[in-house]
Amino acid sequence: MRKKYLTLILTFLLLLPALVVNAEQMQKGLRIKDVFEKYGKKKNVVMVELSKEFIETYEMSFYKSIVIKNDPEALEYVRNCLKNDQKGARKIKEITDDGGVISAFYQLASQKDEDNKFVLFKVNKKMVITLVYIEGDLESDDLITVLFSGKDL
Amino acid sequence: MNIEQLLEKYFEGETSSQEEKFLREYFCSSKVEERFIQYAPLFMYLKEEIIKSDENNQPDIIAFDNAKSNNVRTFNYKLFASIAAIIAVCFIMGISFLNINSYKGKSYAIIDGKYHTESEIVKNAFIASIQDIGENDIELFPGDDVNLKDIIGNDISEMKDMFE
Repeated sequence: MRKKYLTLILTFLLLLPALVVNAEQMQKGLRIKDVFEKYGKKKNVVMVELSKEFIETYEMSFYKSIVIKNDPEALEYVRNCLKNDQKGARKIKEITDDGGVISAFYQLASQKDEDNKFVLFKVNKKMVITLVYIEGDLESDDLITVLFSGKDL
Repeated sequence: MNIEQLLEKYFEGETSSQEEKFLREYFCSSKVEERFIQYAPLFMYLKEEIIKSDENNQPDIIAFDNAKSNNVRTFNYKLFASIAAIIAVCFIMGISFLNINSYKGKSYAIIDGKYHTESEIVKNAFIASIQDIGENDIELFPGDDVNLKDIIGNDISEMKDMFE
């Protein structure tokens, strides 16, 4: 009886992390999620995540960005992740050169009842890589307005 | 053997174990002389004590089994290992939850591997990332002939408000 009781407690404790759902997590299955995990804490990298209460006024539910300076390996990695995640996505804008994608704005595929998902990507001449991932109820035009305009929505 | 001499030796503490055994056997028999009868109770008592002592010194196989059936506690390694595992899991999860709860619900920036939750730092990091995206790239965004430099510039007050 005591052994059964202990086994139950142990099983519960091991499963507990899986039961604690963090609603602010990125959608699973996205390769760009790996970019944040792999590079987020490295040197010459700045990663930002905004809290839900901060951004919900702008109909966003998730905002995460990463800026990686001068890392060719990271650039290759990010491009591969984007290649994977853009399948089924709506390419709002994409610019490429001989080396590959240098800037992009995608709206990723999502289910009807899910928030819209956006990816913005840019690598400039100084080899600064910027990747932004946003989830929210807003449309792509609204997103640009919120991020880059002084105008009110 | 001369009983009288043996008795003298016994009370002097000089008898061997064989001689003591002889005396015990003699005084427990029915052939004790009348002049020695007063010593009989002593040696009969000694013999009884020796018998009891011999019984107690037997290998404890039976006693050990009795201990188990009477629930005498022995060290249970499996139980100890289970408890230790639970404590370790709780400890690790406690640390994890502390880390999660430190940033859960808060905006943060990780700069060169260091966490920052100060709003000024997070704001600046956020602004920098947005400016990097929009810099000198008119064709990135929908819209016609839009001078993004003018739009983005430093005029992102909309987002700055979020940090106030």
